[in-house]
Amino acid sequence: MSSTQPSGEPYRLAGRRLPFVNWYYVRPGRFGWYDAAGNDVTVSGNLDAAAAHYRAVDRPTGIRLMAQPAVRQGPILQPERPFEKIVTLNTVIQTEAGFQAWGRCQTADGQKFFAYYTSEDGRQWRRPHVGLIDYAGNRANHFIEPNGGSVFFDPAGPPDERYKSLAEAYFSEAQFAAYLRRRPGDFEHKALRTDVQPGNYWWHGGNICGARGWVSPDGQRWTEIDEPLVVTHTDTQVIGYYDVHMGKYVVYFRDWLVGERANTDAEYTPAAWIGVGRRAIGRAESSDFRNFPLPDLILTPRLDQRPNQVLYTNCKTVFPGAPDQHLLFPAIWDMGDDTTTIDLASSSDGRMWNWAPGTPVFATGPAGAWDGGAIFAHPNLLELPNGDFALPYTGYDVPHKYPRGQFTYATGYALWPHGRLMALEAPERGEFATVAVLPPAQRLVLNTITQRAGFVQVEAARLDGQPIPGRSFAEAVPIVGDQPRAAVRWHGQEELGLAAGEAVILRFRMERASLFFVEFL
Amino acid sequence: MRTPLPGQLEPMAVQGPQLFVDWRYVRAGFVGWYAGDQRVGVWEPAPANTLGAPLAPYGIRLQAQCAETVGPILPRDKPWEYTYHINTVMYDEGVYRVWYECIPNDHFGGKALPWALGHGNVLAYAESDDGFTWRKPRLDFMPYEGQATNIVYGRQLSPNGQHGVSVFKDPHAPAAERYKLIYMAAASDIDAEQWRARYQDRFGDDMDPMCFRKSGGQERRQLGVSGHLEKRTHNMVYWIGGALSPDGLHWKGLPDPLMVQFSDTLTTCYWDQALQRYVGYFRTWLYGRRCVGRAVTEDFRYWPSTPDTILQAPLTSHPSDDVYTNAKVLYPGSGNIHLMFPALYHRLDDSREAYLTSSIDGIHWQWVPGGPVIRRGKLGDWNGSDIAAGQGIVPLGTDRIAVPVSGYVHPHKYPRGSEPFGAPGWAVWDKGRLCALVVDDCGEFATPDLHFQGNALSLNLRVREAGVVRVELRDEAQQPIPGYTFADADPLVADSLDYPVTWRGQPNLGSLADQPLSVAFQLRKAELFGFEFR
Repeated sequence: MSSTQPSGEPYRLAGRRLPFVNWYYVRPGRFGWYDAAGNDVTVSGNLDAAAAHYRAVDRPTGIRLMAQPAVRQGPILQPERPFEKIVTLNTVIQTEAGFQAWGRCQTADGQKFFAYYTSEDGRQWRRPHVGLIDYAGNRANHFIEPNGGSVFFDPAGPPDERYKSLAEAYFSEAQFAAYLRRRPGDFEHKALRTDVQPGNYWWHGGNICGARGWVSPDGQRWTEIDEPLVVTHTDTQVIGYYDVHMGKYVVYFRDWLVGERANTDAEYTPAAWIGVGRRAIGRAESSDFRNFPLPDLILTPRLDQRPNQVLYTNCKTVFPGAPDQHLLFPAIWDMGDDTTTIDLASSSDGRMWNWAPGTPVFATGPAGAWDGGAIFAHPNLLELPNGDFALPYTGYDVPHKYPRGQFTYATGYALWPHGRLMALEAPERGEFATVAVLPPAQRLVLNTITQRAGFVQVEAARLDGQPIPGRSFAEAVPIVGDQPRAAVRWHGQEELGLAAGEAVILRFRMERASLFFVEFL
Repeated sequence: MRTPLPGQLEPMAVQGPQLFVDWRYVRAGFVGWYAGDQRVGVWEPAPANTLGAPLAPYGIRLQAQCAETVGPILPRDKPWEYTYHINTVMYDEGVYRVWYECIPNDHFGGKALPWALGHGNVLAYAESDDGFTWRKPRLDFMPYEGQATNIVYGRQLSPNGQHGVSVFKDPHAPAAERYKLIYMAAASDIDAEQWRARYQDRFGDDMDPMCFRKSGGQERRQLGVSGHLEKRTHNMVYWIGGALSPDGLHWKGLPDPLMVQFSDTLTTCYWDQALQRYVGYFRTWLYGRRCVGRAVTEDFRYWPSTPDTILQAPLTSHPSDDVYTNAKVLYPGSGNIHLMFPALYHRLDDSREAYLTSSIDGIHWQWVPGGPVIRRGKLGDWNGSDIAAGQGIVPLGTDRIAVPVSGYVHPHKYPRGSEPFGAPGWAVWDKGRLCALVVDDCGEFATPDLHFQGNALSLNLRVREAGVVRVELRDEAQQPIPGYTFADADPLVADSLDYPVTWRGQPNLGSLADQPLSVAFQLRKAELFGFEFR
């Protein structure tokens, strides 16, 4: 559906950064055919073929996008207390005050608890005494009331629902009946898993698959929403967030790409479709956290992937400092060897996604390592105090479906030093211009790296394309070397020289350089 | 919205030719862990001798196949055929029927015409028995410079101009509306706000802002990002228009908009038998780049929502590339193999080439690996600088399949006025060979359970002398069916569009059509294009 809002320049920025995770900020350029007198004769011109010449304006050239491989670090959370055996993080939220995390703790005596952690730096994790759950006769622990697998902060929620949580769940017939009274016929047939025995696993309260929600005032005391948020076969990671711009909740689900069943008398076997289906990612949005429509399939395995590779999880997050640049870090499960890799996809609206060239960005560790069996990423992509980007993941010591009787697992970070997640590269000489944006500040820094003979130069122009006096390429000071935060200067000037509310187009000349993002200061 | 398909589970119904254009007919498989012969459950302790046993496809990949381009196939011999775009080709009851869009030369002669350039186009018609020798009927509908023409729509034959038109046959419509046109309509020098208010009740706010054009203001800047040139006729309003016909020749234009969407260039539509809805593919825009959108409706005269964008250029393409056209078709006889031949427009050199994309449902699309499948010819040739596909995919003779194309000697945006331009042609493949499942070394895979009619299985394959293909049939438990195992299978070594699969010399599947079965393949140095039960 078309937006009823006008499209076009200048673009708004939701944050202070302008990252290059797709072509959103790169101007496609325009061109024309011009006669000898400089008249534009494009399309309607009636000269000879050789009498006009192609002339482009702000045509991007010599550049490409390339996802960067992550560095492995971990485990980043180790058992510390005498009763802790396995500790993991499922969600980490970054705020100006620090980091909050939700995870699980398996105790030495085999019990499993939800747990709450805090950190100032994302590396040293505290276990605050929440005082809610009695364990071994003592409430001096960090265990919390059960919530789901992922947590998000809801800036629009009422005070007692400021935090929300989501997970896959299996609901009872009674819960399903209540759901149907509200939403007759609004469910997915695949979700009726009559083959599942209720109570077999801790999350199997029934056999109707769907998404469960929880709400909380503080992220510690949780209230479970009894009925499904939606009845769909979302059998692994479910991640949500509140989209401030749309004023809606958005949820990313495990979804399935499967073919159409023939009209046949052959007996229907629940879950038999799993054998032929491919795991994929779905999305739904709603103004009401307690009711989501059935998800739309928004990302499926690529045709240049092997036919046994599927999208196991979604790991929806955003680019730090640019909350309108949406990212997915799906775990690609390879059924040829039962391991996983982490790929990267990006989107400017959360609906239409593109796979990042250069993906996968992260792989299962070497055999025998703590994460040498399979890995799965968790929200969110964090910016550590030193500027590194870190993505939490759970690493398993055995492959995904390997017998789990003795398996162990832990949490690690996939690290991108200096926040260099994805590069706009000019392997040789490259040029491009951004779309016009309303800058939140007047100074710029670049996260860039050049080869020895390379450089980056920036020109600032107004909305009409004309360079701002004193901010043209002629005055631009070349940026050379490994510069995570290089100030952009024009003959000693750092200010863009714009009036308040005035938009800017940034033009780049690059020689053997990679540009990771622009930040307004 | 979920696709309202009748189910999404095994067995999959197959009827007619089935192509390997995506992974739908390749079972994803799984990996099991075994201690000796004993499978070890996921939540059980693992004995020391536990080994993985992947039952997953391996050694295979998909590769789109490049077409041979043939043209020009239709002579430019009429004065109204100054520019020439082939829009729709249909193989209709034994006759090739083509609808092509022309801009008559009076648009370039400085005459004052009541239509803006691009909206005084005309739709012309021709037919052929073999796809190469064409008849242009002399019709009385719209004379041009005193001559009878083969023009069937546009200008005074249309209530609202026409641009980017396509024709489809609607099997479920009453006879008087059996054929339908869809296109971008336009009106100039009208009060846009009054027009918008008039249709507010019909469409609410769901009107594409790009439909309302006037010089200056917001619209100019918007077009600048998009790469358009900023020179437009004042006060234009655009929308999606339609027309109805009993025979594809006599058209009755619909005066009211079907949808308020700016979809310049080829818009396509068809009646989807499974969905029981009309499905249209339109041009949309995403961050200043052309894309393809999709919308559905039960009533051709009223589309309740503007399109959702469903295809954009991959990030591996050049940052200035657009998806220019959609050329959406269903592979003939298959019913569910949705294909597009979208032209990627390279602003870098003002040219287009067409790629292959595939979908199981028309909503979720994948770019088929292998690069462009309809490529430009040599510089100076009829298709040397620019080529794009029209709508339609038709048999050509008994062994080939063809998509209509328009080729251009010059780049896309210049020059258009100096001499006649645009020539129709065919992009031709051997029947069913749009994409190969390639086995470079050794490979294996199995299909999902299939529900089929017939008593024989044939393959479209290319296997060189040192290669081989063997086929096994498996029951619902994935157990080989006696008599149809790999041990019974005859080795298949052939280059054939229709090669019978045999087991110990026998092709007969007996009564197996009554039960769902999976087809397993062992391959070495082979290309497999498709299969068919009959």
